Amino acid sequence: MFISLNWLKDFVTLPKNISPRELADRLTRQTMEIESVRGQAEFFDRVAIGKILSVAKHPQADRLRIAVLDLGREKLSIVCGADNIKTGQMVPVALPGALLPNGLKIEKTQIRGEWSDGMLCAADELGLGDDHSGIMILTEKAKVGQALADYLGLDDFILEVDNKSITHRSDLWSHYGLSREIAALFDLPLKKPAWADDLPAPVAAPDSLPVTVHEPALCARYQALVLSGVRVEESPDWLKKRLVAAGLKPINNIVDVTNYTMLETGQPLHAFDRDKINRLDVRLSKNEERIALLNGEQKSLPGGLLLIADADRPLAVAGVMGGADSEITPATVRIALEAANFDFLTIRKSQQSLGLRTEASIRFEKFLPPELCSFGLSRAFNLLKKICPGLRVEGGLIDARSENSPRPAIKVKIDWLNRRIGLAIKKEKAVAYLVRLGFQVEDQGDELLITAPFWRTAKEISRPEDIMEEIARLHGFDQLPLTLPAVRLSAPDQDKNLLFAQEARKILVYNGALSEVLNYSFVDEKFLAKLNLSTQDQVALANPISAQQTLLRSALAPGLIANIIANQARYDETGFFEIGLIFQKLPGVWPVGDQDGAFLPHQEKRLGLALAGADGPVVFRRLKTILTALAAAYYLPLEFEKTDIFPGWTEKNLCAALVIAGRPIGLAALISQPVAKRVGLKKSAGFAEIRLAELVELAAGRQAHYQPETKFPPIKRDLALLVDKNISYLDIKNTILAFSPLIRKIELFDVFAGDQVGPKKKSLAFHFVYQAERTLQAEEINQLQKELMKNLAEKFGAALRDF
Amino acid sequence: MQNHLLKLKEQVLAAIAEAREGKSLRALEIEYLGRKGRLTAILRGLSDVSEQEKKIVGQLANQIKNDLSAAFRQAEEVFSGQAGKNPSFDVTLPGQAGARGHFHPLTIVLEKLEKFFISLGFLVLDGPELESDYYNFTALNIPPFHPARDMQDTFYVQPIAQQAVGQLVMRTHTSPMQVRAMQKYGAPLRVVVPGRVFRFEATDTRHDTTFYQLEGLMLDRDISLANLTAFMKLMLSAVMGQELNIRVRPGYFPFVEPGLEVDMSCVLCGGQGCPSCKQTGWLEMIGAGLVHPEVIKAGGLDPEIYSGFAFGIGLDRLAMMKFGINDIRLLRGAHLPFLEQF
Repeated sequence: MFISLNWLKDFVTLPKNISPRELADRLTRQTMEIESVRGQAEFFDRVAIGKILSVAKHPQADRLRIAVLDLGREKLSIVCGADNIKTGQMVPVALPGALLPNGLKIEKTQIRGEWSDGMLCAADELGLGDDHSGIMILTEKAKVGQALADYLGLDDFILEVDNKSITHRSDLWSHYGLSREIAALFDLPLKKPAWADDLPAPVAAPDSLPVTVHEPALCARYQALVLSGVRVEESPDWLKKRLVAAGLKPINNIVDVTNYTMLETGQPLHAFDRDKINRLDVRLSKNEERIALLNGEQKSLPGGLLLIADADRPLAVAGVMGGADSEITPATVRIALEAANFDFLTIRKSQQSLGLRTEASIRFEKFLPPELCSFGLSRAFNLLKKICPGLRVEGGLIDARSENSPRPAIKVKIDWLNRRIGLAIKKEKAVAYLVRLGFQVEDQGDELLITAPFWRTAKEISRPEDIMEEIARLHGFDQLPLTLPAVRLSAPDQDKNLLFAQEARKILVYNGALSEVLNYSFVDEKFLAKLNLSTQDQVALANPISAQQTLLRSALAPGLIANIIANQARYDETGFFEIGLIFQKLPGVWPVGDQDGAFLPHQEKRLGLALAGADGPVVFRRLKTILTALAAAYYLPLEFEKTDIFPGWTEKNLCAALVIAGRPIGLAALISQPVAKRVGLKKSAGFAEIRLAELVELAAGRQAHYQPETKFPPIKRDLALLVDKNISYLDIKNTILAFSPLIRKIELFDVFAGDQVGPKKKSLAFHFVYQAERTLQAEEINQLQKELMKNLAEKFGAALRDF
Repeated sequence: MQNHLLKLKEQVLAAIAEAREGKSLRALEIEYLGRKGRLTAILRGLSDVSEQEKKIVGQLANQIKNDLSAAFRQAEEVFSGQAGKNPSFDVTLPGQAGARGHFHPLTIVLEKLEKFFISLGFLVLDGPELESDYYNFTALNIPPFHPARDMQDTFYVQPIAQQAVGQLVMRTHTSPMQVRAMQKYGAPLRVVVPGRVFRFEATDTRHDTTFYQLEGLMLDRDISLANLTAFMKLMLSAVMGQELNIRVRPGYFPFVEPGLEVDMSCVLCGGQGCPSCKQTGWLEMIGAGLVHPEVIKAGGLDPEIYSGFAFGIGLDRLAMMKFGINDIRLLRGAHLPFLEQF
């Protein structure tokens, strides 16, 4: 919303030493956010008035002419395409450096070989209307060299309000309302306008126009005036100037008066052509009733929207927009002028159902007080009388109203007030602040009994907290003492997943050399299909913002593989990880809240890793190394087991279950070749995905336990086993360790396949450590190894490799 | 044969390590590498083996001889006192840059905040990102048709077959966890909830459909507005690592009363005015306020007994300011030339 400073001055006289920017700062600190302050003159910086001394043909172009202009201090030569210029005219000249409202930047340029020292402007180029028929010719009062802003009388300052910051303050959506607030902030008198309550006497049963409010609960007041002797024409300049300052486009004098009144008083009004309507009913729409709106749209309405209608058809969607049928036209001579109060919820329903928000509806939706109707209507009546001298009232004031429910007084204890604000404000001071804001205050000793003024609605001011806010902000939030809260000491149990994630990140970054990413929660169905991944468990967005973000991710790895693809052209090797939430359709653990026994879809924190390089086995080994290091940080042994359950983008022999103490916690896998081809993955890539909570649970309480060193020396031996290639390391390892308690530790140090061992074989070389609580004899170990080899030969066909 | 050679090498290296003076070192060298030394003897014995093996063993033996000679030279330098005087020893050579990955700039900021709040005895909680309409709006004093619902353009999800869970939304703020935390932990309560939030809006350098907030809630008897403003100053100063001025002004959020916006003095220009702060000297950082009595009630607590403050801070903005990042979209996905700088 735009606020004109000159308009505010109609109602409040600001001290001379308060600049527009200081006013904006004060409002920002105590009432509402002012986003910008601009002097109107700034819009026409470096646009001056020049007198045309001569006009000559451009030697190189038939359609261009060269004008010589007198700007007082200098004479300029300007190339111009318009054909309405003549010697002696006064015209606006944009000089080099000017930035026009339409975004055009003016520089000295050469046009078809002739220098042009600036530009002559049409009205639309200056944002002064739609006229582009020719250069704007100024009146005789224009002076050579005068700034255009000065000629136009543009001495106003425009404050731009952040509308969000006054969502709750319907009283601030007008110049008068804002003046009232400023008067309270600065403790200044507010000028009461002479036109207030200057309305004709009400008529009991209007002959001029029958009006019936069928929904008094949704329309607390309906005032109207039937006025004849209207002449529809352009509004006077002073009125247009103010509308433009506030960002509204002038239309005709009748419509402009309704808009002007709304901007000034906050009360939206509507004018019907009296001769096109036969009565006014405030009623609910029936299903599929049709209306042609003023914006040109044809609407078929759902049932239950509040309408203004006559005997034949809907005339307007109440408080939102009027219909084209009863629009004011140049032929209009009689109008019905409406100032009504509509329930905020019904307005919001209409807005939502029509997908339409208007200057009127954004005011109504914030809850306007019924008392505002007559304030607004009397201003509009007053303006129309000025503009249309032949104006006559037919009948009298039509005024259909329900009883205003009395505002209950709010009780506020002084002690409570001070504790909530955190400052001992004297009672007298608190009372003074409230009185400045128009509140009625009854002093009852330790307690105040407070009634809000009508413009601060019951929706906004209904609790002691609301009163506290008023006192605190008038005092100034900046003036509060900086008192930190004093609390009882406590050391809450922190979320173990969070603490784990903090440590895991360090291991993955420093030890795993991976880079952390945060991918979108939304994923591309088509990409998942290319990856051969099923999407049936995935929650779908109802209103995706793009075709690439349609589903909620049910795994992290696909996103990480997309990250690899995005970087593969520039990097030979990449590695990423992410800790984030995934979503699946099945019910999870978070209650929905307002429905018993209903739970939100499953949401789970995962750790995802992805690596890429030239060689698949190397990538997979590195992946396992990183995962092992992560598990080892928590003294957890991690094993890689073959698995029959694997997603569609890998293969059985490329995928391992991650298992700790017999418990599967996730997967590690290489992407299959066909899938890699399909998605344009040019590296060998592997990924791992871990259910974080399970790993955290296993890690909980894990710590080192000191074992005193045994004094009996270990015996170390190396053994290389030859086995078929399809025999897995894990099976051999488990067999060896289970074979004898004397085998304390084995460590795989080499895997070899090649000509030397035969095409179907591989060699696994282990360090063995034998130890016992006694001195072991070499002979004893030799015997044990013989038996072990026999066992391995039977179980796996293993043989000792001889060098 | 190979094993034998390797064992010999181990023996010699052990012996070199054992040597305590130059004389014994020379004796050792003659014993093994001399013309009649033991390694030489082994090589002479090669004539007994096959041609193929001769080649392999020969290579290995030569390698071992070279290694051992080098080990003897190095050991000699120690005894002759030349080691430290070696002019080719350049102390200024760089260390080896070990491969390391990179933390995401957002989690760097996030962890800093988490640590700050843990140090003050706050609980750090996680919440669901796919949230019910009830917790995201209604429980926060934003009933159906409330304009605040329009202010926060929302992503909705399609109904899930066989689950009567009502309307679900991608949470538009971390505030739903205020109510969930009150319900679970009661009062007094000190909690922060960092996390991802979603808005249905067009993406540009400063806006994204996905961004991060940190929600804070402190509930106890007699928490005051003054407590809130003092805490905001403490928190922002701690996060930015310098003493900052703050500006507190009215703002509107339906779940607090009063609602406040907290600005901090611009860290780039020190409050003098620059393009970053749009010449105002202030940067808008936090939405805050005293928790609305209706929200305390929704959390199952009595607003007559408990009061508290809540705040929300945008983490992307904080990270962008801290690291000078000019496009929020760099914070999503994986643009390695960007990530590598952290």
